[in-house]
Amino acid sequence: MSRAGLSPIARALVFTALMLAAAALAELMRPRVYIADQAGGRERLAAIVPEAFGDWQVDRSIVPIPPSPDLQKVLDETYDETLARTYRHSDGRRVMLSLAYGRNQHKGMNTHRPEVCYPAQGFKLLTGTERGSLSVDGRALGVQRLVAGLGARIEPITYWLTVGGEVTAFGSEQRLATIRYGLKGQVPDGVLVRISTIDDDAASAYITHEQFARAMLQSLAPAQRARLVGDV
Amino acid sequence: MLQSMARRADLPVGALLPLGLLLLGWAAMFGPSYAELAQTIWASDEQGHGPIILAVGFWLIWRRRDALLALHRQAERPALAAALVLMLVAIAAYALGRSQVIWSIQIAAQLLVLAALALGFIGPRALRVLAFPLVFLVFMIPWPGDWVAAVTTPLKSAVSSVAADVLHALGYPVARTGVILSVGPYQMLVADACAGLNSMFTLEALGLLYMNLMGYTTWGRNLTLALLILPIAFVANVVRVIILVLVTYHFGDAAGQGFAHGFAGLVLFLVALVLILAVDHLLNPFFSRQRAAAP
Repeated sequence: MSRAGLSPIARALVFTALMLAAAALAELMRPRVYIADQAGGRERLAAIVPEAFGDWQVDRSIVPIPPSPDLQKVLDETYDETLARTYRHSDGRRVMLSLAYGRNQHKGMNTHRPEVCYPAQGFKLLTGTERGSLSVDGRALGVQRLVAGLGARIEPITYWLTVGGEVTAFGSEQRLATIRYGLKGQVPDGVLVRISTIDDDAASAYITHEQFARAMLQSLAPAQRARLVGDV
Repeated sequence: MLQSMARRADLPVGALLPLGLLLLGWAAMFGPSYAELAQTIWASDEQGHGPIILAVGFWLIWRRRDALLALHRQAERPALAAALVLMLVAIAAYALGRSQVIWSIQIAAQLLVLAALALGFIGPRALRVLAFPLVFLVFMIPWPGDWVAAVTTPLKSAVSSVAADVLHALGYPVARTGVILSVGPYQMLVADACAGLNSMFTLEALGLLYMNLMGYTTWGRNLTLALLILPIAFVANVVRVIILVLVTYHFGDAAGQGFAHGFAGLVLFLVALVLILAVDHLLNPFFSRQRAAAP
């Protein structure tokens, strides 16, 4: 019966050995070192981002709307820390800051992706996502911008996402960045920084976002700033 | 089919040991994937159809064992070199997908391994025999999260909007903001599951299975039915959302979230299956009822 030169049992042994080798290879390639645990671990974001910087101060009169119980469950499973604050400028402008931190970017941050999370709360996306950049300390920080709306509430949003030390975008860029670390044996962590305002005029809102981001980042020590904007 | 049952011979004794070995290898390779999927993607509302597709896929392969044995006896030559090359591709895909948590690649590797085994143990013509089960198993490859989100969000909007329009036309006090439906005193958030991506996959797979079991061989007919299943699944999901809204409106929030929620899911499949059978019946005049001889 050995038309192929090998008996069925010999062939079965070869293929079974190959399947076992595949399992072993995958186990060998699995990244094990959490970047989050290196260099003495990560400080909590709540401890890093000051409650007052520049002309901005946390506005305690506004409590951010908590997510629905369903969503909260997903958030708890996906993120290791989330932080939502409203800041008020001395001239009265208000900005909402939302941070989400995940130790393991293999899990992704999609639930917090504004293009997903705003519609999930009933918002409509009024514009597509556009790429922009903020200049912070002579460095161009790549960000994404879009406008969401719910009834009369028009909310322009600026956000960015980091994986390990890189600023990236959602989707394949985030996956590829994670895989680049993964192939080096590292599990990267990541932060999503989302800044939004309630403002009918998106152009002026984006200027406010930039001023806010710059003031916030400049108030941080380099190591802490790297938590929010990477170090590449 | 009856004829083929009568001819059915048991597997030759000599095949048992190789088959056992291969199952062992399969379990070592994909067992951990299944265990992890069971706790993540298969447990999710959007892609909970995986295990059913897997089970039916293997049953479809098992159903074809006689045809495969017949090929073997007809001195079909195994293509061992091609099988080994395919196997190496499968191993690379699997190792990358498994170690870097890329589910689609990791699970797609199953198809490559199956194809490699068919080539290596029986031969190229075995691929033709196994074509349907292999295509069927494509439905269990998990979609990347981005794709799911990209499809789910607009689908959810569309389902909510059509459901709200229908209820409004029936005279119910319904208002919709995005994916939130307000009916009388109640507010309902149309969840991801209601987008019906999961039911589209499941119904599409069931539809394929139906066509295969009915022995349809006309490509036009199969393709038409396969495409029509998409709007059918959509309608079934709209019906489901309408039922949930009506139950909540007339019997209260607790009723809408309790037994009725599961019941509405069942209604979804009944509605969809009835529609599929009806559409298939309507297709009869257009396609001469050609049936394949028993597979």
